Amino acid sequence: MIRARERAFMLTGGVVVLLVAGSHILRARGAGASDDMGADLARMRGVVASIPMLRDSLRDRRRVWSGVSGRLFAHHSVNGAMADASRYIATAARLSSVEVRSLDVVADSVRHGVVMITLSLTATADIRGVVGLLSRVERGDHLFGIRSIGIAQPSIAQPGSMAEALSVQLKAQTVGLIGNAP
Amino acid sequence: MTVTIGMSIDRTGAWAVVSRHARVIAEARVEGSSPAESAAVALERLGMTTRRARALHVAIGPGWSRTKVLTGLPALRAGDLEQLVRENGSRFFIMPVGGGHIAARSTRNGTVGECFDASVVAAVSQGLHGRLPLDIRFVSCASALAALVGDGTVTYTESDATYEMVFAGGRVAAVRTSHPDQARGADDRPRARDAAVGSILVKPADHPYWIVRARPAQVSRRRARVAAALACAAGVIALASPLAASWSQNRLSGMERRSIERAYRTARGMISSLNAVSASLEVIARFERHTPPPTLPLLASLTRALPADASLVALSADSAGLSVVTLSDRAVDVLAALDSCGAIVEPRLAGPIRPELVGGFTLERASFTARWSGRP
Repeated sequence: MIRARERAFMLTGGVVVLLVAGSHILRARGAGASDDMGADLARMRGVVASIPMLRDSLRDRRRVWSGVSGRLFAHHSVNGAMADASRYIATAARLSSVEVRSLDVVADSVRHGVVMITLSLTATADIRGVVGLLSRVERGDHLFGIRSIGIAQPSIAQPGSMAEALSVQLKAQTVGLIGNAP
Repeated sequence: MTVTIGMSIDRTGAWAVVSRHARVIAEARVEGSSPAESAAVALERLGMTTRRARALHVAIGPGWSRTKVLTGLPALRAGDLEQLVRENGSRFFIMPVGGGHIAARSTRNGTVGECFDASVVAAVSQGLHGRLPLDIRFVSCASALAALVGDGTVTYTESDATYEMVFAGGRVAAVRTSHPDQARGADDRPRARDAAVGSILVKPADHPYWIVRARPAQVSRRRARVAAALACAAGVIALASPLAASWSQNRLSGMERRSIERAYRTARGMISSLNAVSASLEVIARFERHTPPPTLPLLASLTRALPADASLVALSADSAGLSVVTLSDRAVDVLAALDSCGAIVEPRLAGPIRPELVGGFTLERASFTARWSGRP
């Protein structure tokens, strides 16, 4: 049978052990939370300290982007951008007296708000029309790249009085800007 | 500044203290030795603190001393009275075996006579002789305690004997011992007590009381509770201080975090915008990198390079290179012309040269391939 004094001693010892253990647990937990918070704070300080540098970089790149974005077919949808691009090519062909036989437009998937639009054109034209079309496409307001071009003269031996009819196959690629500008 | 040395010698050993202004500044305890050796060792252990001492009070324990109030004495001066008592010592005291050292002094309550064991007094005097220029005064511990206690009872334990000292009016009323060998007459009835005991000591200069220390040194219940409370408080502080420090650190971190959170959000937005612009610019840059050189200048340089009698039947160009079909008088002249064109490199025949009749003339039809040079 445990005496009252022994019981009090055991009770006090138990309370002390619980206090020490609880303190250790709380301290460890607090130290872990403090470490996490300190790491977060250090990361935030680093990010905040780089604000001037970020501002300069962003200003420079936006300046570059503003020079480029005006040459893209901007629209809120891919189909709209495709329509704009095909309309541009068709207008250039008409202004160059190029007879368009077919015009296919294909678009890639959108990445970072930008989409690649490929136009395949089959047309008939004389050499001036071909040169005019290439000039309007390559030196126009919009960003175009000629991926391939095929020019064939079907009847080399025709009389000089007949109109020249070159068969032209042109594949051009341009860039569409979808949605808001970055 | 002068100091006073007090020494208690009894059967258990010697205890010496150095006092200055009624405060003990040094102490030494020697147990279980002869009176001479213990007194000398105790004095030696006090060290440098005794160098300014001018007096040494030696309190002899109850086993080696007797104390009683002497009555019926004539009114004499202190010196004469002491000489009278010393000369008639055997009339006042039962003398010890080795002889007695008698002392008497007048107090407010009468004359107190003390009889010490002469061998002990001699041994102590011999042990302390020549060590310090001291004036040694012997006193019984009972008289010392009487000066302090006034009225009451003190139990004094010495070796295996326990003495109960009864004081009244600042003088010794009775000394009782429980040791059977220490019986000393009718007033020495054995009466042991378990109570704690006093051990005397020193009477500082200009101080009316003797310094007494309790033995064993028992801690009062109140002091124990205060000590326990202080220990608990120290433990709580020791346990709580790291938590408090961590909490304070977290709080400061949280405050700083809140203060820079807005700037952090702005910076995150800038980083996001920068990433978006960079990605879009990278797409445009990749598009321009993979775009072949402009077609129009290449065609112009090509047609300029061809001989005047050559006709371009077909032309096909893509990013890989160029292929042309020509009709001319001599196909090798076309090949040489293509070789001189700066816009293309490595022109070569892509098939056989076939003669073809066109408009009554025989011309050579040939196919050529070439790669872009990268220069217009």
